[in-house]
Amino acid sequence: MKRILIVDDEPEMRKVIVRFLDGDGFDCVESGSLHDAMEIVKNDQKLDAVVLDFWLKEANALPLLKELRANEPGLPIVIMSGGGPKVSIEITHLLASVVGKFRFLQKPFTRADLIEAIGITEL
Amino acid sequence: MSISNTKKIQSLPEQRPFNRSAKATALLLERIVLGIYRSRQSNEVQQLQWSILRYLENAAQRQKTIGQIASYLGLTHAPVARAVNVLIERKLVAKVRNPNDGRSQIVSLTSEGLKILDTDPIHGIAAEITQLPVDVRHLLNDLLTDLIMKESSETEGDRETNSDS
Repeated sequence: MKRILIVDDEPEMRKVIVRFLDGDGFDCVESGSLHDAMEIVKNDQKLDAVVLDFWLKEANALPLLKELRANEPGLPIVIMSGGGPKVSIEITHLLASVVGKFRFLQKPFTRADLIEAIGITEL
Repeated sequence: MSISNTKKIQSLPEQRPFNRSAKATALLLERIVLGIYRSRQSNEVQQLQWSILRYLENAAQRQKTIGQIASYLGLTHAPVARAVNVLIERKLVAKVRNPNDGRSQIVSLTSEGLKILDTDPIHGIAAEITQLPVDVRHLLNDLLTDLIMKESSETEGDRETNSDS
């Protein structure tokens, strides 16, 4: 069973993602903030992947992505975004790509899109 | 032009929120960007068309509709539809029925489209960046990221002034 950390500050969005993944044998851990997500990543050695929203209310996910790439280079990461404040999805994708190689999911997406992204995340 | 007019024009930059060096840097960035898409001939692939081809190369199959492409690029449907039609005429992409939604169509790269991506003009500057020392590359990444972030959060009212020119 794959253990997935889901980072999104919108509880409804997290709920939808958990619903998408639960039926496929994924064990989901939820986080609503970058700070909590960092703590989980540091302390949970059994994570198989991270699915995170790039634009959170408190900040963008760049600091977390940099830390993940520095300390957990082998951890598959799926970034999801519907664009940010005055920033297109394309620019969001490029900002993340500067940090490293991630699977990128454009919102809205289907359950099949998410499963596919987690399954084929390349490093 | 009278001497008094010349003086008036020369004094203007002091009121602007940037210095001459920053303006020169910005113009160099502009020159680099414009230089990437040198060709203006109608039979060449244009900038928006390149953006679409790049998107199609990496997007999940289900996200290859014109609506999704437009949403990704932050554009309205019409210019993307027009650009896709040009790419279809050039046989670089093709439209097929969306298996998940009978009302929409998926845009796919043809083998010609895949082939032309090897000649993407952005590759030249990417190769130049790759040649930079790693620390310089990281610095450049950070600087451009900061500029984009600042641009995204900046409003007309909160621009800082810097008149040390």
